[in-house]
Order: sequence, then structure tokens, then C-alpha cells
Amino acid sequence: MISIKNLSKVFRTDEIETLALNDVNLNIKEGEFVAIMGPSGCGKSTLLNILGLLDNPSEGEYNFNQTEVANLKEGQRTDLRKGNIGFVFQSFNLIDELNVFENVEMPLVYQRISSKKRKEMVSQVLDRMNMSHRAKHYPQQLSGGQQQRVAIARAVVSNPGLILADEPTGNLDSKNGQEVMELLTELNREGTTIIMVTHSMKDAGYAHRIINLFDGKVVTEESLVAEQVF
Amino acid sequence: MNFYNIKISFKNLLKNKLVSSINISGLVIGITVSLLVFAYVNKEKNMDQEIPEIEQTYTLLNNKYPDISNCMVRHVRSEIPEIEAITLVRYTWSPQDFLKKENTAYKLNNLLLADSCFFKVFQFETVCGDPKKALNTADQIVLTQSVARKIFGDDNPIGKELVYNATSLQNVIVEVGAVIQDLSHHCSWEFDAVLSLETNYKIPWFKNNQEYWGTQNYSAFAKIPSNIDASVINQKLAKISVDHIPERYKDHTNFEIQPFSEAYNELPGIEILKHGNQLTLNVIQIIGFLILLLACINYINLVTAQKIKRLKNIGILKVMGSKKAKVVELIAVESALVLFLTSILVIVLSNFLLIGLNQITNSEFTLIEIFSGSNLIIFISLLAFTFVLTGIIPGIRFSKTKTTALLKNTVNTRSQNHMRNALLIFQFTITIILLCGILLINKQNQFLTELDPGFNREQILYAATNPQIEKSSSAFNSEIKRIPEISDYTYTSAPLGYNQSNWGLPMINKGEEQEIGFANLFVSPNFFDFFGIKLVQGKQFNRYSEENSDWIFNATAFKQFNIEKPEDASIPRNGKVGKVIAEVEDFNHESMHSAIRPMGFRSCKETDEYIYFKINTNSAASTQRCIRSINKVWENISPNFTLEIKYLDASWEALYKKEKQFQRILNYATIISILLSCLGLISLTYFIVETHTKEIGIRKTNGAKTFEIIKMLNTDLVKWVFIACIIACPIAWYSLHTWLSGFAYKTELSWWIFALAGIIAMGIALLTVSWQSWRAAKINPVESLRYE
Repeated sequence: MISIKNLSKVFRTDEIETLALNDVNLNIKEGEFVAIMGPSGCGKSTLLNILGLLDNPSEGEYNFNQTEVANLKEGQRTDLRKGNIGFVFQSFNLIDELNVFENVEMPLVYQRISSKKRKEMVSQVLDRMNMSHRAKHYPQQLSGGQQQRVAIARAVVSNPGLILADEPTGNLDSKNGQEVMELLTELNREGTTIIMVTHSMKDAGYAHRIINLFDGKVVTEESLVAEQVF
Repeated sequence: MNFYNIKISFKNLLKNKLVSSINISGLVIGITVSLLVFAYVNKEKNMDQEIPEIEQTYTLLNNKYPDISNCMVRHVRSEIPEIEAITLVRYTWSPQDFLKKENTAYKLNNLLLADSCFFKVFQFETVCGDPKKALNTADQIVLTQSVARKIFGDDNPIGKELVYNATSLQNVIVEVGAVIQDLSHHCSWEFDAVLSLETNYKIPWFKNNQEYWGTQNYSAFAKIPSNIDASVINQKLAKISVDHIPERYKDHTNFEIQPFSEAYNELPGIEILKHGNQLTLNVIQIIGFLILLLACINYINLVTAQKIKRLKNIGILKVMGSKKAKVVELIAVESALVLFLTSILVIVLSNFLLIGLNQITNSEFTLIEIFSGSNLIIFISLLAFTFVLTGIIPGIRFSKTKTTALLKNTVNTRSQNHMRNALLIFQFTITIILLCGILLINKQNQFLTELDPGFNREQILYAATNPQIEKSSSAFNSEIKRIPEISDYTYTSAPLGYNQSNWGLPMINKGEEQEIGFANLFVSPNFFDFFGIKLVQGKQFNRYSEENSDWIFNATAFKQFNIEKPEDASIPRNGKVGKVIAEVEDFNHESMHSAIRPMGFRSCKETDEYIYFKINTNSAASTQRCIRSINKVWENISPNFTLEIKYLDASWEALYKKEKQFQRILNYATIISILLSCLGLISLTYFIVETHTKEIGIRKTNGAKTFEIIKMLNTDLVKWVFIACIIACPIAWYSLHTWLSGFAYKTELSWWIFALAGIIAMGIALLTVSWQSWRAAKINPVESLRYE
């Protein structure tokens, strides 16, 4: 599904050049659950942003679903992202002015799906996340765990093949964190590819494979499953 | 306070160059324009205050009108001895007046005729001589300083003789009795010399007219002693004896006095004074206030919006141990610095704009005048007010806010949002009202210019004649006929458009006598053909009409005086009975501000006061050649008088000068208001974008395209502008309806004016905002999401 070759990302300000990713090579197959680990500032989020087509690499190749995407324009990246990639963030990133239903509905609006169909899809996913009774509530009325469930609902509502999670349990207590991890595992079991950035060894334990980054480079890759299920 | 704070403030200003400069320039423009407007309004409202003892000076009115005759003044003077002095004044009769010294003739622009009391009532500052005594006898003249200097240079002009030439008087030797200072622009008087009224007594008809109660061609002004109240005089005037008043005027005599200081704005009928327009002035004053309000609120809003961005910095300062007082000081110093810069720029900009102001308003304002008196108080209190709102209050607020809240950026800003939206609606309401205003005024001016006044104006030149032409009329007329470009010519006693004559005569209609009032005009027999005015019934003037005192009336007169057929009516005058011989179609003989009055025409002799030339060419070159030919004839026949030729269509348009001036002022006001509204919008969008950065990121991550983000950011704005439209329309309709009611001929207050104003406002708003929205929407979502 994902194939990255010699990928680099450089951030430039007026005087300083920072090499966030340095010659990264990576392959992720469909249906995999991959955890990316490493200390703060090692380039985890940068890698995730490039994988999620939010940002372009400075150099290298990125093949997503058999398409070369490293040098796409913003509009093309947006089109490719729509319906294919879902995002889950540490700080949930729900819009305060919209209620739960509207937050979940948002990606479908931008995919120009009819409102009737949207209603159906959102209800289905909220049911699944056990959040139907909270559809009219606003984010600030929910607990952290509930907010993250809404965020996950938003990420999966359009049935994307890939979910990118940036420290999804970082703002949650252990109980809620576990719930979220179980939810992701379940989604993965149903066939969704998941790439997750995390600091927590415990969360990484849910993944099939752990990629360790250090100073923008992949230092180790360890597989957590003995037999390949793919 | 220490230097450190000033340094930080400077750095902050420079860091946000664009926002700082938008911010400061908005405030500078707003304050400057409103200060200039206030200076102008102040001047207009306090006209003539520089004249000594102005509070004891009054205008004499009869039946609420300022038209007074010599007989009336004599009567009032003898009946009410408490009046210290009362003077009789008017403009010269002559279309042209010259003073000649040796062989050089100097043309006077505004010559007054006044009796000996004029300078007792109006004590203008004297340069030399004694003006109070200078007009005591005939052939005396008082000059203003600039005229005296033009004629005599640095010599003392007192007692020197000059030759006075006018249409009715030729080669009269007059003596300079006094010289007064030039009149300032704070004075409603406008003249360059005053000639003693008695000088004109050499003209027999003029002298005779002084004995008629009804010759109300003058204005009269009275001075009353400071210890007598005006109401006392008014009571006496109300009870004035009517014994010596001619029978037919007894019922029409109602004298009263009104303070002279009110004449400028309230008595436009006094044609020897300059006048202001109360309505226009009020509109301008309101606009001044609104501009000031817009600029200040804009500034305060933008500054507070920017402060939110700096909450974190202040939080850090507090963590570093900065005390509450120091936080207040930092914000205050920054605000003071900006306001100091603003004051300097206001003074600089005022200096530039003064030239424009003086040009538009025909004034002579100086920079010191703009920054003195009430204006200085307004300026300083404005700065103090803004300082408190942008320096002290946010400072105190931030100093009291918890440090953790500052660092996390969780300070509540919701109430400020409401305030900003309300401001936006307010600004756009004003902008739309002003836009409606300029659209309608434009439409009305266009309408008036295009409206057919009922007589031909194209390719017609005219000029005031003089006694020398009158004397050699046959020679002059036959010379004029020889000029190939002139196809026809005609004479009248007053220029079309400026005929303010008002005659009152008895008329016999079907055997019954009635008193009629009408505008009178002497015309050549070919007048109606010349101007394309059609006869309704009866016959044109013929060559005996002058001798027979024949009359022609317009349709309005026929209707108003109930004349059915011309032969039913006649007018007995000076022992002769003049027949009414025809009715002509109505045409506008005055500006279209007023409806058509009854008008009576008499046939003139071979010439009269004004001559009109119809030219048979369109080209400018031939017209100039024609004018040169006329001038040649003119110089031969009347060497004492220069030819001053005018275009009839141009002088007809000049009647709408005030509307054009108002239009110009309103145009500028609208531009400034739009500019300030745009600045307000920029500040609002700036704020919206700041507070929605993360939302934009989230939406883009979830598939929103740039266009969709712009749409989202602009939708709110469209909503607010639409609400502004709804509020503005009724207000605009009401004010414009009121303005239009001042015209006898008015254009329609069409619906499209409001629609167009709304569309323009909406367009400007979208243009202003979309650029910022576009920039915000283009930001990489990764950056927006990182933004906390």
C-alpha cells in the first residue's frame, strides 16, 4: 500500500535548516498495524504528515496505492486523501462550534455525499462507537475518551483504507486509552491499515510492527507477530 | 517606566509592520478628516462672530422676508427711536462697475450701495480714515484694503478721487473716505467697496423709487443698545403705527428683527450675503462624527484583537516575575507610543489636506485654526480616550488574568466577538446609506441638468450691456447683424435663470380689480421665437407694444389669476392702461429648485440690460472667432466697459453649484467611510482567521479544498453585510426622501439605488476579505494544526 524510498524533509527558516527526515525507506502493506516510535523531535509527526498527504517531502519517492504522490499539488493531494485516509490526533481536533453529528459528518460533506446518505453513514458509525446518544452534544460537553471516540468515528466514517493516528491516547487516562486502542485494533482486524505514532510501549504493543525513528532516520524495525497473517 | 518597555513596544510595532501601518493610518485618516470637518462646521456655525458688537446687530424683516424699502426704514427709524442705528444696503444696480484712476480702470466684483449708517452698524476693522463718517454724503466710497492697494499701491488713498463708471452712472468723481481690512472667511459679507447710496440719487428713477413703500429691493440691518432686549423692539415693531403707510400695504406690514448672526444659515433671501445651508451642514457634521467613530472603534478593535495574540508573551513576562503594575505599564507605553506617532501624522496630514479643504469650501483655514479651540479639546480628549481604551484597560485586564490562562491562551474572547460583529454591521450600515446618498444625488443632479427648462440653451451666448451700447443701439445692432456666426440676437432685463424680480401691481380682470404678484421681465419682441417658447393664445409683441405697455403672461399666471382670455385683462399703471395680449407656455426662468412662478413680460426698447446671441456654429474655433468679432464691435461702441461673455448652458448649470459641491463632499465622505469600513473588515477577518486557524486545518485534513474554506470564512461576512443592508435601506430612504422634498422637480427614488448600494458594499466587502481568507485557506494544514 505504501512504499517510501530515500525520503527526506527539510524545514527552512531564514537562517536555520532542519533535517526532519533523512533518507527514510519504508514499506507498509495493506491491513498492517504499524507503530512509529522515537523521542520528541525525531520526525515521527513529520513522517505521519507526509504519509497522510498533508505535506510533501523535500526529496525521495512516495508511492501510495500504486500512485506516485511525492510531488503532487495541494489540490491533487486533497482529492487523493478524501475517502482514502482518516486522521486521529492526540488533541482530538474536533470543532467546538459543531456538535458530534456535524463533526463526524464533515468529511462526507467535502466528498459531496447527499445529506440523506450522510445521515445514514454517520448514524451507523456513531452506533458502532456507542456515541449515538451524544449526537447532539458539543465537544466541550464530552469526556476526553468520548471526544477521541468521536474523532475516530470521523476518521472512519467514509471507510478509508488507511487511518493515521498521532498519539491517539496521549491526552487520555489509561482506561480510556485502552478503549481507544481496542477500537483501533478492531478496525485493523476488519481490514483497515493503521499507522500510529506513539510514545507508549504499551500502545505500541497492539501493533504488528514497530518502527523506531531517531534524528530523522529509521534505526530499527521490529516485528511483534511471529507468523505473518497477510 | 523604563527604556526597556519602549524598546519592546517599538519591536512589537515593527514586527507587525502591515497590521501596525493599517491600524495607524486608519486612525490618522479618521481623526484628520473629522478635525477638518469640525473646523469647517465650527466656522459655518459661528459666522460673523468677529464683527464687533454682533450680538446687538439684527436683520429687519417684513412678513418674515428680508426685502425692505427705503420708506420702511425711514418709518421704523422715526417710530422706534430706541434703535441706535439702522442701515439700508443692496448690491449695485449695474451689471458692471469700474473705478478709474488716471487712465487705468479697475473692475469691482462686488460693490455695495449703503447709506451713512452702514459702518455704524457693522464696525469692520479700519485701516485708515473713519468709515462711520465716510458715507455721509453722495460720491463717497469706502474700499477694502486689497482694492485700495491695487489702485493706490502704498500711497494713502484717503481723500483721493476716482472716476466711477456703471451702467446707470457715467464718469462720476468719487472720493475715498476710508479703507477697511479685507473681509475674513469667517464673515458672511462679501464686497470689495461700499458706495454711498446717495451717489445714485443722480439717476431720476432711482431717486423716485426711494419714495415708494413697495420698492423692496434692499436689506436693512439695525443695531440696538446693549441694555435693550430684542423682544422689546419686536413688541414695538408689532404695534408700529400704520397711519403713514399707503393703504394697500397696511395689511401687509409685519416688522420684526432677527439676530444678524442667524442670517448666514437662516435667511438665504439676503442676496448681498454669503450663505450656508443648515441641512448640508448638519449632514456634514454627522458624517464627521461617524468617520471619527468608525476610525476609533476600528483602531480599538484591531489593537485588542492583536493583544490576544500577545497573551502568551505577557504570560511569560509574568512567569519571569513582572508585577501587575509593570504589565499595565508595558501595554500603556506601547499604546502611548502609537498615539504619539498618530498625533504627529495627523498634524502632517492635516497640513496636506488643508489645501483641498480650502478649495472645496472656499475658505482660508490655517493649520493653527484646525488645532485650536474646541478642536484642540476634541483632539486631546480623543487621544486620552483611545489611550485609556487601548492602553490602560487591556493592561489592567491582562495584569489580573491568571498566568496559566495567559500561557494556555484560554482567555475568554466571546464578548469581543459580538462587539466586532455589531461594529461591522454598524460600519456597513453607514457605508450603504452614504452610497445610496451619492447615487441619488448623482441621479438628481443628472435629472436637473437634463430636464428641459422649456427654452433653448444651446449655442447661446450672453453679456450684460451698458449705457454706451444703449446710446448707440442702432449702430450696435446693425454691426452685430453683420457677424456671420450670429444668426439672431435678443434683449432681456435680467439673465434667464437669475430673474428674482418680484412685482406687485393691480390688474383688472373682467372688470374686477385684483392685486397680483409676479416675476417681471422686459424682452425684445423676438424673445419668444428666439428661445423657442410657444404662444398658447393671443399675439406676439409688435413694435408698438413698448409704447402701448402691452403685457404677455405665462400659463401659470393665467391659471393663478383666473384669466381666461388675454383681452379680459389689463393693467393700469402710471396713468396708462396696458393690455394683456397673449399667453405663453411656461418655462423655468429660475433654477429648478423652485416651481414656476407667475411671470409677466413687457416689451423693451431697442436694447436692455442683457443681450443674447444665437450662434450658428458648433465648433469651438468659430465660436471664439465670433466672440472676437463681438468684442471688436463692443470696444468700438463702449470703450468704458469690457465685454464679459457667458455661455447660457454653462450659467444654467452653475445654478446647481451647491448640489455639485454637496455631491463632492459626500463623494469624499463615502470614499473615506468605505476605506475605514474596509480597514474594519481587515481587522475583523484578521481576527476571524486568527481564531479559526485550527478549524481551517481540521477541515482541510478532512478533505476541504481552498475554495470551500474561503466560502466558509466569507459566509458570515455576507450575512452581516446583508443585515446592514436591511437596517440601512429604511434610514437611507427616509433621509433621501427628505432631501428630495426640497426640490420642485425631483427624480424618482428608485429601488435600484438601494440594490446597487447593497451590491457595491457587498462587493467591496468580499474583495477586502477574500484576499485574507485565501491566504488563510492556503496555509498548509500541518501548520494550522500545530497552531495553538
